[in-house]
Amino acid sequence: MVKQRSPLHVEGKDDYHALSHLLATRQLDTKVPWFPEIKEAGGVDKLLNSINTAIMFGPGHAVGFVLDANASPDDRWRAVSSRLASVGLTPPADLPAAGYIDFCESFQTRTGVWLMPDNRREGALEDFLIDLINPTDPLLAHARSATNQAQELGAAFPVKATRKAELRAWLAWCEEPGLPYGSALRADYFRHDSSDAEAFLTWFSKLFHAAGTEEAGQS
Amino acid sequence: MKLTDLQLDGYRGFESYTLNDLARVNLLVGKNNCGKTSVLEAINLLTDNGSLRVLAQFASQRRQRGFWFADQPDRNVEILDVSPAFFGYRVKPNAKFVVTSNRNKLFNRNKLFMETVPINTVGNDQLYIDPDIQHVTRNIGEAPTVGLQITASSLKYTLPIFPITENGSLIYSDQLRRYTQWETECRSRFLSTTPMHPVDIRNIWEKVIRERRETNLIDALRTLEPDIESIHLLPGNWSMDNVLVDRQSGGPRIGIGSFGEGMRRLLDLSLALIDSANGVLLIDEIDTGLHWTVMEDLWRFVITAARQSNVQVFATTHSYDCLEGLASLMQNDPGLAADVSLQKIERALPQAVALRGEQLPMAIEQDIEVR
Repeated sequence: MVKQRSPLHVEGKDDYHALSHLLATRQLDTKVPWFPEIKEAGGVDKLLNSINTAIMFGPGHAVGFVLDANASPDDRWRAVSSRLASVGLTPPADLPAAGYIDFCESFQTRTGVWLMPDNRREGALEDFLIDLINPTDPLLAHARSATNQAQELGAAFPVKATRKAELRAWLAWCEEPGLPYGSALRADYFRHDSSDAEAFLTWFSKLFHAAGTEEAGQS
Repeated sequence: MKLTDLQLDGYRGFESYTLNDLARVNLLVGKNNCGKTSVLEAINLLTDNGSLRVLAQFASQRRQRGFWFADQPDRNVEILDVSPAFFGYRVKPNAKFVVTSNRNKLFNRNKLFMETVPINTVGNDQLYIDPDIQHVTRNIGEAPTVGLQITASSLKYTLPIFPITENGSLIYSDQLRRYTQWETECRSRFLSTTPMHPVDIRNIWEKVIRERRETNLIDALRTLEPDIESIHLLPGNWSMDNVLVDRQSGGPRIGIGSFGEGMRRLLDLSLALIDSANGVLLIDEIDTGLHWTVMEDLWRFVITAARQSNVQVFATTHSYDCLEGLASLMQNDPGLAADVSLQKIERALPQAVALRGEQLPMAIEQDIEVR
């Protein structure tokens, strides 16, 4: 019998590839039965709108959601919280630094939420990945100043995409220039250990692995 | 609409289970053995006021029909096992199951009780006495010691109590079979995966002709063959070759048997929908025999026909294609969504997980496993 895998819902393709490869490169065996299936929602609005339904149809499984905090982590958490409340969960007013995990009694679904980069500060997947670059790498400082200069010269990208531009600039100078996030992770360009990454992996394991263990315990 | 919610207590494998937010057309999904067919059966029993004929039909469908005594040529006696209807197969006295619909509605609530009582507490004037009971009891070597009491809230009279053995064996004679067509305002029709009986089809076809409903049949068949223009039934024994169709592209009239098994299923579906006007239609494995490419059209036909004939439909499926076809229809024809509900029979919870028609496209797009 094919066992249905737990889902991890992420915003878009970049998140899908980055997280898939991050988990693979951190030596997490993706073939274990508890490993989730990562699904990209096609945008944050679609992801938000699917939260309650995903939980309702998750009995016996864990369901995870990864979103970007963007400009206001508080607003983003409030939007997520209201969806969680609609299925009977009672999320805290402040998202814990270790991420949110709770058990939805009404639908018997273990539920988790992570707000990129670290459940606290504003930002997105790009901030999370930049933290995986050695902070003393001169190319990182160069990427930052080059991006800054580009803005002064009238570059078209909006201010909110600055981190994205910095990261892409840095990737342009790697051994194989311009690789997308997932491939760059696979190629081991991001070698630095960040506390955010460790925290994310802990949240991930706690959400999905523990759920898998509970199921195994029952059978 | 007849049923807005349903509660099963002690029926088959359900100790206590509810379905809420029912719509005109309901698609029941869930793992093998989760009880989808049992839910259809419960609805059938409820609307037919606990008819033993319906219980006998279920036994046939599950291939559990009892054995017959043929040593008296003018008497056909069957042993019907009613124990599967009770949770845990328990029929010893004081076993009970209850099926309720619209439980919070004062005027439309419908309740069916089936319970067992010790036969020695039942007066002779309450008991159903079958002339064959002595003869059969001798043959099966066991006398009935339990009485089966059926109470239906919408039945205007009290039914007698039927004697059964401790194992649930009921003597289902010809006489009882004639008796058990007791009255009901709203009957259900159960369409299983096996084709409808030719006699059944002939009877409904009479209705089709009298009520000029040929266009409904043609609409259904056009799901598979858009070219069909008109339909004609030859007299005599019913068979697929006696149903002839004209096509818009011209040519001779041909039997619809030439179009394959899927056409047979569509014919059965459309006839069943016509016959179920103002009632309930239960369709097990609605996608049987039909290719994934016709699913969206199939659902469009079913929902439209259900509206036209004022039928409430409960269907089951395992097929992702069938579900995707429905979601696609909800997307392309949002006006139909208000009449649709998806009900996942999830045994880990005390109630089914319900999704409204308009939420279905999002669920499919997000790849949420709703089956």
